[in-house]
Amino acid sequence: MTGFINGCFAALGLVTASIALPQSALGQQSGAQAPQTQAPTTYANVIPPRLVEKTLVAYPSHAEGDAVVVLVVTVNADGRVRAASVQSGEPPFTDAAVDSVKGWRFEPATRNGKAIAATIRIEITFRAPVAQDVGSDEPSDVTAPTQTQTKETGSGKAHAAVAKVPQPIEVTIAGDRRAPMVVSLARTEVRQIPGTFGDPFRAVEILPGVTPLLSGLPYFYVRGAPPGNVGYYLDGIRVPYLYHVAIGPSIVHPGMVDHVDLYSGGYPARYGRFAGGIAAAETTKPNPTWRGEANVRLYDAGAMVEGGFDQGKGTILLGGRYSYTAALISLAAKDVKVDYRDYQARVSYELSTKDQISLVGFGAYDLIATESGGISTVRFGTEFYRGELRWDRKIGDDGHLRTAFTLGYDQSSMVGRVNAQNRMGGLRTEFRKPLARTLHLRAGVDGLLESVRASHVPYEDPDNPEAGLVQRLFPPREDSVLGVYGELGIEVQPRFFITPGVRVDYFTSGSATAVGVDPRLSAKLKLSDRFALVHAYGIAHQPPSFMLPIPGYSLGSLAKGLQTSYQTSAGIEWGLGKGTVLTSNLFHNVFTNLTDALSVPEGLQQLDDMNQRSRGRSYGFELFLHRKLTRDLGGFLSYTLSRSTRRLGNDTFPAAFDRRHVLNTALAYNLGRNWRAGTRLTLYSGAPKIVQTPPVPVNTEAPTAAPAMNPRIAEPPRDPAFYRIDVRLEKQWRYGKTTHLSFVAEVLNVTAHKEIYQGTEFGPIFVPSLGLEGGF
Amino acid sequence: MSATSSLTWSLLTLVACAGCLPADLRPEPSKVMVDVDMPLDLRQMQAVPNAITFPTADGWTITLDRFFVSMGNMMLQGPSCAEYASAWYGRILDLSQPGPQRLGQLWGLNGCRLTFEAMRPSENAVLGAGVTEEDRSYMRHAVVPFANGDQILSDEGMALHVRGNATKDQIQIGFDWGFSTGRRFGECKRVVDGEVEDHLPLVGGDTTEITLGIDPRELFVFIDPTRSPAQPATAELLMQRIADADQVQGNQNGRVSIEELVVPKFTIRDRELNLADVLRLITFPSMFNYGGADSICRLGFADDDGR
Repeated sequence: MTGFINGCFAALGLVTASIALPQSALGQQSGAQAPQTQAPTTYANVIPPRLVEKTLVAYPSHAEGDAVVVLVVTVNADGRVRAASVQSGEPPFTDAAVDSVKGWRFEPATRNGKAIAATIRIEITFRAPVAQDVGSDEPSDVTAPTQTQTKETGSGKAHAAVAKVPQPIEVTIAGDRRAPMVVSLARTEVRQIPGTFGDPFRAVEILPGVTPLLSGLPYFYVRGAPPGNVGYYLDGIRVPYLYHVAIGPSIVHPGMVDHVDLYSGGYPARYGRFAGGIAAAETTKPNPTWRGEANVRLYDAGAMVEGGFDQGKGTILLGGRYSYTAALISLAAKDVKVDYRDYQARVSYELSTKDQISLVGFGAYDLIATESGGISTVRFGTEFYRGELRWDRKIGDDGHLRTAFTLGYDQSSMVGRVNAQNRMGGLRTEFRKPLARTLHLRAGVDGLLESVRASHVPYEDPDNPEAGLVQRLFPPREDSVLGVYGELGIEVQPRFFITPGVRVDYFTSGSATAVGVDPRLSAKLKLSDRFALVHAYGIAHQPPSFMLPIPGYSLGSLAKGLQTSYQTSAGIEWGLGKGTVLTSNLFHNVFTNLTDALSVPEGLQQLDDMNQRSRGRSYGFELFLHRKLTRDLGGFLSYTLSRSTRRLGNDTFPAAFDRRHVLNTALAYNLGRNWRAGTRLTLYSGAPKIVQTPPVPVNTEAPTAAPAMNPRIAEPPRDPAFYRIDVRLEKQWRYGKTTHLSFVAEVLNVTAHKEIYQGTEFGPIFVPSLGLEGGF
Repeated sequence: MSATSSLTWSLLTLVACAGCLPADLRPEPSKVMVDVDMPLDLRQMQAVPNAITFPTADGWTITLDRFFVSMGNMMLQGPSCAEYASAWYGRILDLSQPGPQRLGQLWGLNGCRLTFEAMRPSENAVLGAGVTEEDRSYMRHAVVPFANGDQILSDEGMALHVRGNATKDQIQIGFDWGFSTGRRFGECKRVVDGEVEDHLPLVGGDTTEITLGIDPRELFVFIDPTRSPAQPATAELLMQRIADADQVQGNQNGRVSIEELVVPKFTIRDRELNLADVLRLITFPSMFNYGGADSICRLGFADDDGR
């Protein structure tokens, strides 16, 4: 087989996939064998479609192992793909294959010389990553063939028209790269994780290195970095948070999310401005075939629909979710209103075979209000909106350039406290292209302007120490940042790959300025086909951040410098066979100049403490044993042993949410007859307790001044450990090849176990969910 | 219009829909100004600046050279109450200073009840007239002995610091006590024109003034709540008992310690309390009133863990 050029892409960690196509489809492709079309035997005058333009079939970055997908593809008389459905194969490979094939262009099938619609079958073989890669996820080569079948589909009635092809055609396609230290979760798998309610973002909490604040709350530490230092991205667009209030769902419809990546440290240079981890979600690619999803649950309903127009040149996607928790809660508490909603919209249009323009918009809204005496008062309200106009251009066969203009608006409101707003506009350009067989480049530049405003509280006691602090914390100002980054994927030797990179950011905030220079380096050494050593190092800078990611809450203390983290990790990747993969890492992060009030005991006594700077360190061991939950029997075990400390002055003490042990394990099983059950155990050790003055007998007759009790001690007692069990049961009915309806029952914390923090019981946070999900 | 400009306008339209959070359309509230003062007759007896002097029913003359109280954490509550702004912070007041002294201001509308606390001060407690940062630090960090049954325990920080002496017939007894147990006075009602005012009637645009009373004399007055209705509500002659705790049952050193106060016993509702318990749990909160001696508040403990 001449098709695989895995030597090239393997060097950069790319993966390969082979695609079986009609031999004639590849006649124009470089490296392809000459077309060897043979007239079909059944319908001698039918000529099958011939591929004239292909788009990428990326090896899913969140997938593992080899896979074969067979698609049934209907090609219109104009050569565009009308529909592609899965005949065999498993997600996420099927999703990747369908997404890609829908963008292909064919010379249409003909009968007696007249173009007709036709259905062909395409077999795509994905091969697991053989190397670290860097950049391209474009097709790279075309080689050997396989057999196909065509069907004429005039007037909706198909006739078999077998195009007997004596020699199969195979296309070798480079898969997307997989960053060395990333952990990815596909939406198809996330659906099966109990306790996530099908939300891809929520699944982040199960990954190694992730430490929860409290059970059910969607805020977490990543390798010791607090929630305010964890960056969230959706399609490369920074968003302030990923979840609706409290235990609410994620802020985009799950059907729009393809996968979520968690970069715990040493992440690619394209991510910056966060000193902790990065959670990045990618949406599904524009798809001209109409599809949709809808769900109705106890507390909300959502829907998403996508389809094409102008003969598939354009696509449109609309989605949203609306909660009616207000109605439910009002049954128990008439004076409380909880409301959340979100929307997503995406329109894309192909201007040419190389250019695509897209308009993306999404937003989320959350409100908690109380009503008393007929007057409604907002207790906590937050919203954010993003709109982006982007232009994607193919550069050659395997390069890609994206230019995007983004507008954003964030706002949060707490009556009596603050109404903070943040308006932003940004421009970014991303470029990636292989420069040589063993050298890939990825680079970009982006700028962002932000206007931060915090309104004066209309009713406030001027003597209150917190009066005016809002303006001090979030002073009205103009912030900006200009960044540039570049990284190279280099195959040093056939089994040794390194990815050096660097990003430089120039920050301004009012009159303050700062520069962050962030070198990054990752390396992968494959000791065998199944075993690799992986290292990652990096420095990351971040401007001052609020302790929790709340829209508009942007600290204005850049003059005191950037927050900085020094991240190191080393680990292994070990394919154990049968789809089971073991990854394990040791990590050590050092933090300086953190605005991490959340981690400092008694650090939240005053709002001024938000600007208090501390140093920190975290180190630990991570283990992730994973077999896809979409298999008949799948599961995972995620364990983190870590310690995270902070240092203030001469005191070194555990971070407020330092939990030594965090364990997540889940099991899902196909019960047959489209029943599927799963359970999950979450277990973590208690957080450090703040030490109070001990009640010791004294003999003094009068109060005497005593040294202040220091709660920041090295080894404080801890709260008890907490465990939680979640369960999920799904029954699915299928109608045809793509339409399905599911009944899903899910319970978070089925035992209603209470959690103890600082000696106080919380909860139990117990969330039952019953719902119907459907799609086509 | 080109496709590009159409998309651009669409983008702008999307972003322009921002700002969906409800605006603050609430009607104008009433301002509630809260002050603190001693009873007028007590203030009139104040012969020496920075000292509070008063006689007791059992013939003692008490002089307080220090009477610092930490108060605040005020809020408005009630079924129909719309609280616009609480005053959730503390202030340390020197009651010997000329009064009334400002405690804080709140905003609300409709019928509301005030809740306030006497609690250990926080790091950012506001300093009243005559109170220094050193005073605040002392009240935050002083180790306070207190009785809990027969045990003498300690806690850090004090809601009230009272220091002085009592004299009678050439005998002088000194004391220096801190009260660490914070108390909450909730859902307060007062008597206005002979009628119990169930709620503060807060009308938009108006200013409502409330003066919380603190009567240090009440610290030395104990009325047995278990007395029969036929018995007059005469005060126990508490100062004499306090003096006896040192002069009769104690070490006779002229200073009353907590250890000495745990000796005298009271039986109230089948529960035995010592004198220190009485001071801490009964007479200390009885000093505070909401606009008059006839006021009623729900008494609780201050949630001052987060100080």
